[in-house]
Parts: sequence; C-alpha cells; structure tokens
Amino acid sequence: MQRIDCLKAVAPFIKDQLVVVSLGRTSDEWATVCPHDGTLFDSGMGHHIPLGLGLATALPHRQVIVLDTDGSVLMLLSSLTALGVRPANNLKIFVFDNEVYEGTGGQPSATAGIADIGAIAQGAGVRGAKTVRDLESFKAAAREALTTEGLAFIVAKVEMAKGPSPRRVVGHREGLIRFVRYVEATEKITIFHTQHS
Amino acid sequence: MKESVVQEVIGGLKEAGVRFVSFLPDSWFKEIYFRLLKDPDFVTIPVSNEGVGVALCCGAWLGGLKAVMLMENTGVRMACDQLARLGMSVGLPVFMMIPYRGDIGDKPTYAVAHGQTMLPVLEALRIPYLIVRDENRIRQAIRRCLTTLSATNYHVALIMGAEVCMEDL
Repeated sequence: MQRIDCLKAVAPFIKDQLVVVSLGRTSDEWATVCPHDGTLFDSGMGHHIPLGLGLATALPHRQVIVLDTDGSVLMLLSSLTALGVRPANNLKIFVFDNEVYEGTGGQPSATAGIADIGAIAQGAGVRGAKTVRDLESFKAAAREALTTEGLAFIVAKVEMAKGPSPRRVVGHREGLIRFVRYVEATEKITIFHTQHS
Repeated sequence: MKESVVQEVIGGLKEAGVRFVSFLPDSWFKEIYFRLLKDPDFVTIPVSNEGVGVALCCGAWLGGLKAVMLMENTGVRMACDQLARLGMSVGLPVFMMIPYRGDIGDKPTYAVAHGQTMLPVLEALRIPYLIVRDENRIRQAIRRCLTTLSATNYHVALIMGAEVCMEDL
C-alpha cells in the first residue's frame, strides 16, 4: 500500500475540514493530492496530534484531520495519553507507518517489526485505534472515520515511497497565514492581531 | 500558595478571556490545578509532557481560543523543540505561566537547575518574559502578556516569583 494512494482516498471527503499534516514527503504528497486552504503544514515531529487535539477541542463542531507518520508519533508518545484522557469526537487521525525514516534514506524505525503504534494508542486509552494493511481496508476505514462521529485513530501500514517527491510550493509561514485566514473566514472569528497602526 | 494568589490567577485568566488550559503539575501551583479542573469556564487538558501541552495550546489558539500552558520551569527545557518549531518555524504562539522554581529562597536542591537554566533557555528561544513578584500585579501581568502575544504572534512567558508562590519565604 502506498501512502499517496491513501491520501487520494481521503481527498474526496475534504469539504471544509481542517487538516494538520506532518512534515516531509507526506505534506508534499498531500499538497499535490488535495490543495486546500484548510491545511496546516506543520513543522517538526511529534506534536501534530496534540496540535490537532487542541484545534478540535476549540472547534468541536468542525472535523479536524491529522495526517501523521510513525517517526513523528514515536517521537512524542505522550501525545497519545493526552488523546486518551480527552478524546475529541471530531478528530480523525491517520498515521502512515512505513517503518522507516523516509526523509533520511530509509533507516528502520521502531515499528519495523517491533513496536505497534495501534496497540500503544489503545494502551494509552484510544480505544478505537485500528491498523490496516491494504488499500481496500484503508478506504473502508477512512470512509467510516470521515462520515461518522467519534475519535478515529487509523494506522496505515504503507511502503516507503520511491522516486522523486512532488514538490510542495506553500511554505510553513505562508501556509499558516492561509490557514488562519481560512479559519477566520469560515468561523467568523479573529485569530491574527489586526491593529497595525 | 495563598488563596488570594489563586484567586488573582484564576480571575486574571478569566478577565483576559482565557478559555483553554493545559498543565503538567508543579507543587507551587498545585491549588490552581484542582480549581481549574472543577471550573466550567475552562476547558482543561492535563498532559504528561510539556511539549504536548504547548502544542495543545497552539492548536486551541488556531481555533480561536485564548490558551495558557501552566508548567514548572523545567518544562521550558522539556518543550524546547515544540517552542522552537511551532513558534519560530510555523508561527504559532503559546502563553505560558511558570513558577520560578529555584528562585532565591526556594528550598529543594533539585530546583536549582530549573532556576539557573530557565531564563537563558527562554532568551535562547527569543521568548519575552515578565516576572511577577507582587500578587497585586498578577491580573495586569496576565493582560500584558496576552497583549504582547497578540501583537507579536509569538510566545510569551509569565514567571511567578517566590514572593507570590511561597507562603513560608
């Protein structure tokens, strides 16, 4: 199963959802598959889930999607206990687990035959966490997650992507401004300071 | 911590419009956490790592909620990566309230490192801070910090000194 095929399966469901996407090739692929002002291109590793949880808690009427990776989740595992303690029904988390650090050439991550992120999430209190291993199962899980109420946590076991990555044009700061203006416009709220004189 | 200080903190946060709280407990702030958890005016999410709390607050801010992260000053060290990445790379701010463990007069040996490293780490992260040493200045300090956060869209820290946190100083 290729991650980009999974992202292509998620894209048709995107209307006004807010999407937090991990760094690296995942964000490049998502930007190509689904150009959407409601996407936040996050930087760093580990904090995408709590960022999404904070956003979903602030806007409980709005679906928030997190597109994360195995290396990222492993870096800040206590994000999962926060999710277990305060789950958000409108939060949909997809963890693309290719068992390697893809951006640095493919060194194995702890999930390469050893650690099980779905099981760790369940142990942290994310009761509905599940793992899928083929595209049809992913499509069914994604459809259910994105069309029903409730916290979703889906680990998709994918292959390491090969070949040149699609290039994302939108940078972090530009993406943030687009994202904030999109949230402001659709929620009719003010986030950015506007007193310029 | 004196009840009057707890009331200034809780009241100051409410007056400033803070609705979202995350925390990892420290003994100086212990009375505040129980109060926040029971207060329906706040959405409160406890965490097990300060970096998680920083990211939670940034997410809440993105959704339009004023947020605060309460954490011991050792948490500044723990959350360095989230503070740098979210603040400097992405542009997401968090308001932190931090007890000045290791301040002059603090007793435990373990707190010495917290006190010695906090300000240099904040300065390395370019995070402006205010140290409050008079409980009558707490509400104003909260307002000032949130105004600066709004004007800069960057983190700001309110450090609570020993004078306001310790009863047996």
